[in-house]
Amino acid sequence: MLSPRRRPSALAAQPSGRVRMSQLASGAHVGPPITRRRLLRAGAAGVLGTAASVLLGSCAGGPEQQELTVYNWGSAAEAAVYDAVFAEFERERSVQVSDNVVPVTYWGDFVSKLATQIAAGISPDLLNMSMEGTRRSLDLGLLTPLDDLVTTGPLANRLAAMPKPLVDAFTIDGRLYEIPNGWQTMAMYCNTALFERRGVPLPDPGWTWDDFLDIAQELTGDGVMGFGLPWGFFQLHPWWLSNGGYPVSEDRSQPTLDDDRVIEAVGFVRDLVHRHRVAPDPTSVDVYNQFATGRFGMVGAGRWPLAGWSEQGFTQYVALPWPKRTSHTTVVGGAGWALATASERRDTAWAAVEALTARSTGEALAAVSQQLPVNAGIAAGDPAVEAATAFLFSQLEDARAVAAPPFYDALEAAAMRRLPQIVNGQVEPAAGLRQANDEVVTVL
Amino acid sequence: MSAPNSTQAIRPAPLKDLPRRRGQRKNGGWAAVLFVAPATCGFVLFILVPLLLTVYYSVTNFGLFSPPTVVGGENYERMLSDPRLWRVYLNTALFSVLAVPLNVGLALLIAVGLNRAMSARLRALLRSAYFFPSLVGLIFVAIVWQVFFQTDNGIFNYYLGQLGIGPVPWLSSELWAIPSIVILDVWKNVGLAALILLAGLQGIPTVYYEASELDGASAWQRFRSITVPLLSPQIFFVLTLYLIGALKVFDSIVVLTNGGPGDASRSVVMYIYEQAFQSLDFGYASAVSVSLLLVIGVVTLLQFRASRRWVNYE
Repeated sequence: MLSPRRRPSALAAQPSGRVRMSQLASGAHVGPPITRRRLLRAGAAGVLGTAASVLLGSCAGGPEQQELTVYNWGSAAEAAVYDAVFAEFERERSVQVSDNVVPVTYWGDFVSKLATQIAAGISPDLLNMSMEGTRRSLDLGLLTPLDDLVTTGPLANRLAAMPKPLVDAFTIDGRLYEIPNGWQTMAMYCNTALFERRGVPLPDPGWTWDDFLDIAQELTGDGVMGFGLPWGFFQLHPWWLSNGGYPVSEDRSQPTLDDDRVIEAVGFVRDLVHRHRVAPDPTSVDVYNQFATGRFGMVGAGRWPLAGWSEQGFTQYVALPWPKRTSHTTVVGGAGWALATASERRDTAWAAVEALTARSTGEALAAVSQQLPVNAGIAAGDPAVEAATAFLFSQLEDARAVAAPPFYDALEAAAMRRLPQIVNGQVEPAAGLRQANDEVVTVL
Repeated sequence: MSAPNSTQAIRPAPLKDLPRRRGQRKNGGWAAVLFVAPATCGFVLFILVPLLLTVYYSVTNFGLFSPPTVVGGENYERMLSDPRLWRVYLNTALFSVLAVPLNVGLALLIAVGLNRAMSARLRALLRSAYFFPSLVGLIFVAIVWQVFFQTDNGIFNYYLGQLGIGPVPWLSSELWAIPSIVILDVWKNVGLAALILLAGLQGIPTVYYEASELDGASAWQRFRSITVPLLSPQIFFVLTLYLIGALKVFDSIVVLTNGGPGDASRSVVMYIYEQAFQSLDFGYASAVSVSLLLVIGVVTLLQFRASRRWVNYE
């Protein structure tokens, strides 16, 4: 047997320039024989050529265009609005904007992804950061104070016109870190058509947890459930807030998931699902679509489902205050534009914030946004959406900011690990919440 | 002096007698180096270096925004007293024990069924139908299966309810969370295993079956004594592939249960991801990664040892 190195190629065995028809038919190489040296030369030439073209490409092209990187979140419709704003910004400033819209499952996860990216040396310039992630981001040193920037210019006026509780929520230790771009409160929505069909009168705005349970029981039956329980740490807030509870201490240094009022609220929610069966197992149900199709009589939400309902042509709903145990206190959350500490293009990023907070951007977002606009009086188009939006605005008077300590990731993760067990009756509320609380304390 | 026989006549000249060309290395040559270089670079950059770094980080306290500080075996000690870690290892073992035999067993049945006499068009249709789930993105699959698995409005519980059973809390109970994920996993992955096994089956010469039929062997005897031994290399390949895959299970759990309820369906890889990229505790995550590497290594070694007894490469 010949050594592979010495085995001649089929074509090399032929006299140069003469090729058999069978070789042509089989698609064999036609031309000079392929030797190893020829192959290596061709390979080396290819590598050198590629390297040269990359080098020349990087040297040519004149002055480098500035690139602004945005770490963003939002729906596809919101992203389209941002795209339009950034396209205009690019034309005006000769800047290239890279808008990275990151999906949000949990806000703790959203911040962790950002932190990992920055630690890897890829820092965005501009951040769309939620209230939940603000203190954690600050704790990781990701945000830069904006106080000096908002003393003059268009942002100074716009900030003054925004609801004070929102601006306060982004002011930590006396320093402002974000310019609010949207916010949420939560209300209880009732499907008016279903109430009418079942002959159940709409609840009085001063209703209590007991009234809520009675109505949910009246509505439940024949393929309908009284309440679609939205599932999430933020979404559960109104239950413990309306009982006077809060899952972190006043100074946000310790978790208080084991607070009696929080335990009682979670116990009530558990009973809705597990004992009274007026709400479904919440962990895998799209409550908002099913509310719109008449499968649920009531659902708790902020502004986020309104655009979808409007698209579906669903308008037969009314927003009411959260039923009270001790008060109607609901939750307020939101997001804002922040500048990354590691950004080297802060001036450009700040100019982008000015474009993003312009009234025209707010108007474009109002029709599609999941959030409430930061300025009252921006029309949303659909009268049902308008009415609900106005009601959500009014809730700000009796709302408390979402519990968002620097250890928010651990708090949310531990709570959302144990709450499904509790709500499905596998663990008692007190035991489950104490376990979650202990897990957070261990992390701290 | 006798003439050389025919064998001697075609024996090639020893390598040392061949003329050596300029620049040619004694063993192999530059061409060989160039051919293996891309794969070697990839291995070193993306496997060896990260592996060595992981081992190093596992003995450090590394919080991403500060340089790692060596803490010795502290992370490994913490592993021993971490009840959540034991739970996620147990979950992973349970998932592997359920998913691997089900995937391979069902794939074998499907492959044998598809290998039976039928029209080529029907075989192609069935083969595509079984393989199709492997081509669909897991996120889409998970969204659909979440609807199937819903406790109150799910399709499975609807039909079980017609039979007077349930409702089964598929995704929200500690008992059913892992079996639900296994059902999804088998639905999605059994087609690929069946395709591999079918290719193996089609390589078994029919002469063995014809001879055994003449000898009066039953269908079961033919399956046990011809099909399984001759298909054993493919079965072993699929077993190894799916077992390693099961030990690394991550995506189907994330999209279906997110590890819940509690930690009831959380896998080791998911736990590593959470420790590293959510808690930013890269030191501890690296220590758990090293432990998983060892577990996979030991399991694979045992599997290869056991294969000597039943895998037939003849």
